[in-house]
Amino acid sequence: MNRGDVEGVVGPLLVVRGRVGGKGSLRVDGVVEGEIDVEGSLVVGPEGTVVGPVRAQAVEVDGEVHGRVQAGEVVTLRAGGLVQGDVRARRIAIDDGASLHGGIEMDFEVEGEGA
Amino acid sequence: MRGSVIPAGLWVEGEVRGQGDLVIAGTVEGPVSIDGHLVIEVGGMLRGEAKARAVVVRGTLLGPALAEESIRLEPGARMIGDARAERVAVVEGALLRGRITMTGVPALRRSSAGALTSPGLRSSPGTLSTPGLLTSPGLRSSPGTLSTAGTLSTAGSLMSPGLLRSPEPTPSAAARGAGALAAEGSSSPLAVSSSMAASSPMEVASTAASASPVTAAASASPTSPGFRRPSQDPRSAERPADEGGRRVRRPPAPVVPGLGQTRARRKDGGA
Repeated sequence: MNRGDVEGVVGPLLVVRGRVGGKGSLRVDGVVEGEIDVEGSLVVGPEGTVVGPVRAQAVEVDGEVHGRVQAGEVVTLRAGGLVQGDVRARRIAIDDGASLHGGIEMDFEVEGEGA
Repeated sequence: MRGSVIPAGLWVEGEVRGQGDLVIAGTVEGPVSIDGHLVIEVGGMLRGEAKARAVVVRGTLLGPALAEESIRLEPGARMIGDARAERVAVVEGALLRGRITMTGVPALRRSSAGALTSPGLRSSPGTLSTPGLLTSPGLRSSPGTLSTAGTLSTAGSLMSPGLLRSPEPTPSAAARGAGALAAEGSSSPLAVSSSMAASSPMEVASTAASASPVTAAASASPTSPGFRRPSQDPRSAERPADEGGRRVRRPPAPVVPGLGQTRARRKDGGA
């Protein structure tokens, strides 16, 4: 994770109850209870928790996300990270030690299936 | 980095609360309640209540601000809402529509100091300046009230000088009437100024008249028999002389002759 991209920060012990959105990137070290929809990247820190659907260009989860995760590019589940919900992205990486309770949805075509 | 940041381009719709600092350069629509410092940066917008240890506004705050320590509106800040904190600072260039409440001890000290100085100014003949000075410390908090204070003082100035003087002498005149004495009057700056204001007997009469309806009636009734006054004055003066208690009070009377006259007239009215 490159912190240079991270603009918005929901600090530890901060609680946002509602929707968060916009152009920039966001790092959640606290709690967001609600929908997140940012055009940049979203990082849920080790102590961060998101309860609600999440959408961003790239999503990295070190903490917890309870809700659907959707990324335009890539979703990364780090060791210790937890996602409860479906994950949809072009690319998905799940590190050893991460936990995922939900389905994974990736758009791709299989030559054999297509033929 | 313990703080939180809502950068430009990012918005939050809902409640934000918790610990640590928060910088808003984007938009937050909802109440914010934190135990750290809240900074609304240039271009930032908070639409909702702002609660924090300290609040600094450089952007826009639409909602009340409540801080334990201080609220500071810096140049470029726009705020619509009441600000309540121990200390509130509004830097020139900040725009504010709302009431400011300063709960801090230093603020109270300031106001009490202002109140202390004002009574001293009251004794000075310039009655006009007194109300303005009296009101100004309390009114520093809200600019809106300041204007009313201004109108008040101007209203006072619009009234005739005689009317302005009358309220001041009133208490002292009443004191004299009660037999409280020229001695006191001469000793206190209040009475001195009033006596100065009422340099001529005519003015004394007017002040006495305005002082109380009783005295007014007293001065009014003997108008036709103008001779009675002088004739009765000695009598009334003699009567107190007979009374042991008033002998003591008499000596001071000559100190300020004008006051003695008013007293005599009063007694005439009473008799």
